[in-house]
Amino acid sequence: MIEYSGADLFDLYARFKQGDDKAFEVLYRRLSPGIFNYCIRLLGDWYHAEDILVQTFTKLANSDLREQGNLKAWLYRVATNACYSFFRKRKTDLKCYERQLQSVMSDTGYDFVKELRVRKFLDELPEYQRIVVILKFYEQMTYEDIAEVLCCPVGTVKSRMHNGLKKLRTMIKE
Amino acid sequence: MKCSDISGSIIDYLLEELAPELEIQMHEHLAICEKCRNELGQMEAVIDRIRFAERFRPMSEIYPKIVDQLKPRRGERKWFFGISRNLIYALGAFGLGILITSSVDALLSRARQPERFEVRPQVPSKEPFSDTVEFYAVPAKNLIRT
Repeated sequence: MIEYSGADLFDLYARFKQGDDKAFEVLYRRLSPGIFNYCIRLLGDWYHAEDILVQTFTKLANSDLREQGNLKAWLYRVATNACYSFFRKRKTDLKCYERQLQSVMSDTGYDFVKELRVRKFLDELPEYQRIVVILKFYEQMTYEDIAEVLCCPVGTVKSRMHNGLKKLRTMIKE
Repeated sequence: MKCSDISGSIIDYLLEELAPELEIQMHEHLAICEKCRNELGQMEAVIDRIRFAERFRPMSEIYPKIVDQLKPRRGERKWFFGISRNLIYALGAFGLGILITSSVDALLSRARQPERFEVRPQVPSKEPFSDTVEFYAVPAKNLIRT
C-alpha cells in the first residue's frame, strides 16, 4: 500500500478547489480503495460500501476545508459517521454478504473461506472496537490517526484495540 | 518488567511500535516468562488471522457517479445581474408559499358560515313619560353645614 503524505493530499484538494478537476480524480484514485475496503470490513455490505464511498467523496468536493489538517483522517471520519447511521438502521446480513462475495470472487483468486471467517469474527466485535481493529490492521493507520478519525484520545484507541483483540482471541480459541 | 505491564504492550510489540528501551525490556522478560510467551504467541495468531485479508475493488466504476453528483454544483451560473440561482429559487419558493397560504385562507373564509346576529326590536317602554322636571323641596335646615 503506497502512503501519501498529508500535505501532498491537501495540495491536491486545494488544486481541485481552484478548479482543477483532474486533481480531484487523483485524490479519489489514491484514497478510495482504502475507504472502500474500510466500509466493506465495517458494514459487510458491498452496495452500501459503494454508496458511502460516493457520499464521502461528494462531501469532500462540497466541503470548504481551510486548515491544512489531516485530510485522510477527515475522509475516514466522514465514512465512519455514514457507517454509524447504517448501523442504526440494520445489522450486517451475513448471507447477503456471502452472496455478494461469491459474485465478486468467482473470477478472482480470493480466499473465500478465509474472508467469510474474518467477516464472522469482525461481526462479533462491537462497532467501536471493530473500527479500531480495521483501521489498524487493514488500513495500517497509526494510533494518532485513528484517534483523529474517532475524535478520541490515543489511550482510548489503544484500550479498544486491546479489548477487541482479546475478544477475537477468545473467539478463535472457541 | 512485570507480566501485567507486558499484556498492555504485546500488541505494540507485535506491530513493532514499542520504544526501543521498552522493546529491550520486553525481550528480556519474554526470555524468562513462559506465560507471557504463550500470550504473545496467541495474539500473534489472532493478528495473522485477520491481518492479511483481501483488498477489494468496487463492482462498478464509482468515480462517474461522484462526478454526476458534482455536475449541478460545478455548472452553477449567476443569474440576473449577479444574483445567484439559489437565491432566486428561495425567493420564488417564498412567494409561492405566500400565494398558496393566502389563497387557502380566502377559500376557508368563503367556506365559513357567516355569524348570525339576533336583532331585537326595541320595545317601547310602557312607563309613563313626562317632560316635566320634578324638584324636591329640600328643607332649608338640612342644607346648613354642621
